Amino acid sequence: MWVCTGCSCLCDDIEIEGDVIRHACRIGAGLYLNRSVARTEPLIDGKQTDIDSAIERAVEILKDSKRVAIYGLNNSTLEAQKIAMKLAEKISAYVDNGSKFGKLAEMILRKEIPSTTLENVKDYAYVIFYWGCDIHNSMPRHMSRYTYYPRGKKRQRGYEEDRFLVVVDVRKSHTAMLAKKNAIFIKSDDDRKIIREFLTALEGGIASGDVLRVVKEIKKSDFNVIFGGGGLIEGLGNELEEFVRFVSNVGYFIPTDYRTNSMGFFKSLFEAGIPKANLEDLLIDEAVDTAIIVGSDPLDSMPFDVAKKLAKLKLIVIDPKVSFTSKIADVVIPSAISGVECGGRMLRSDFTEVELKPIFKSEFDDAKILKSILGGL
Amino acid sequence: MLRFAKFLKKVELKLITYRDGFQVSVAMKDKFGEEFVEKSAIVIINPNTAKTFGFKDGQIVKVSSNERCANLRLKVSEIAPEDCALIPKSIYSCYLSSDKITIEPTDGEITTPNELLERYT
Repeated sequence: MWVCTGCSCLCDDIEIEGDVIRHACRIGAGLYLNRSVARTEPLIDGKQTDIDSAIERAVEILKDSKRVAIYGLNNSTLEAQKIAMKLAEKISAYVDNGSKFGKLAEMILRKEIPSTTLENVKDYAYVIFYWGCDIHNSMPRHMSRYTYYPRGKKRQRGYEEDRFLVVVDVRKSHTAMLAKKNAIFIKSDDDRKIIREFLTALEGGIASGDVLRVVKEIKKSDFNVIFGGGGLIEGLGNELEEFVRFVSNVGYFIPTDYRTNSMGFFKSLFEAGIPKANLEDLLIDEAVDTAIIVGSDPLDSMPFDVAKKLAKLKLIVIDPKVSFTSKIADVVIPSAISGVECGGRMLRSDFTEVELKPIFKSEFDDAKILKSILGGL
Repeated sequence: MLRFAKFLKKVELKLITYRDGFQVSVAMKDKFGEEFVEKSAIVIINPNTAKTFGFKDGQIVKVSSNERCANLRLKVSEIAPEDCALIPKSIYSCYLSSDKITIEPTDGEITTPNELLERYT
């Protein structure tokens, strides 16, 4: 069995025989089958070099830098993240992974908000919220492996009778279109307003028909779960108090950050005692002159005005695949695809630790590259 | 050849970016390939909006925001609310990032990732 690193589900039931891959979703299958396409080569200023020279040049750049940001690390193993944190401590670098889930992840780690495992959801959960996330597209096997569709220990009749699905979103996403049997779609223009409405209804007050219907279902079970995505994070802003109260009333919260080892990143950061930076803010303030980008493509995720400022920095890209950011980088260091070409550990979206089972072996991976850079400093 | 496009109207819509599983899988393969452009350089509007403003599924449109513009392929689907346009998360949506975008017909070709990349440097 192979552990897929296509998203933070980290599915551990994938079978591979040559180029035949079973059980994987389109993202996981693509990750494995297209592993040889668009691979990076060691580059300095766009010119081919060898990997040792690229690492040496990266060290030189870092020695000449005033303020560095380390960005990405979502596709890196816990081992590589730990070395990145040591590197950050050594050069007083800012660290960011581009995810907005930091506050809620930290609250889960501090046990300030109740959370659970996906196995428990499969076995016990009745009402399942997907709030501000199109899980069908971002983590395609989430619903079939763990939540709405499967039969669990105490949920033997699956979605047909033993689950109730609630999709809350600003639009009728593909996930919302699946909300047909024992399910409801609530269109949201204001997430905080809907949370307040739920809180009122849970305390016996007046609310809209849809909210009252969901509350009636919530009261049928003591194990309900809310999966929150980027849309929910955006909708909540910094106002988390009511949301935490809502989760405590309903049951449990599990983030649905699709980034493969984003929760591992937050745990690594938390354990190292390093505050999470926001690279977008740093770029707006022109507070950094160099960035190390590890397994991420900020030109493919940051707004143009901010990404344009990033393009002006000294850029060191560590990535197995050619990206928009690698195309404009000063130094490119090829790495291994975590889980496919190198092993290690990662955290699933519910903070469960998973050991990777690589099929191939690569000479260089994120951990080795970051260790070499750290050694060079 | 008659250029009917010029008689059609412009429409201003709220922009929502979204994650599309098919787009993600081709982005993992090669961000400079044809499949990436096919899945990323698209803007989706609601069927009612398309009907009101005379847009057709598959036509190339000029999408503008904050004095920036790119040519994308228009798709018509109910996954887009009537007052919104959807663009999958990619360099295209990042380049056009804004609360609102304007869509209008064009006779141009779809903007390539390399053309966009040049605008960053």
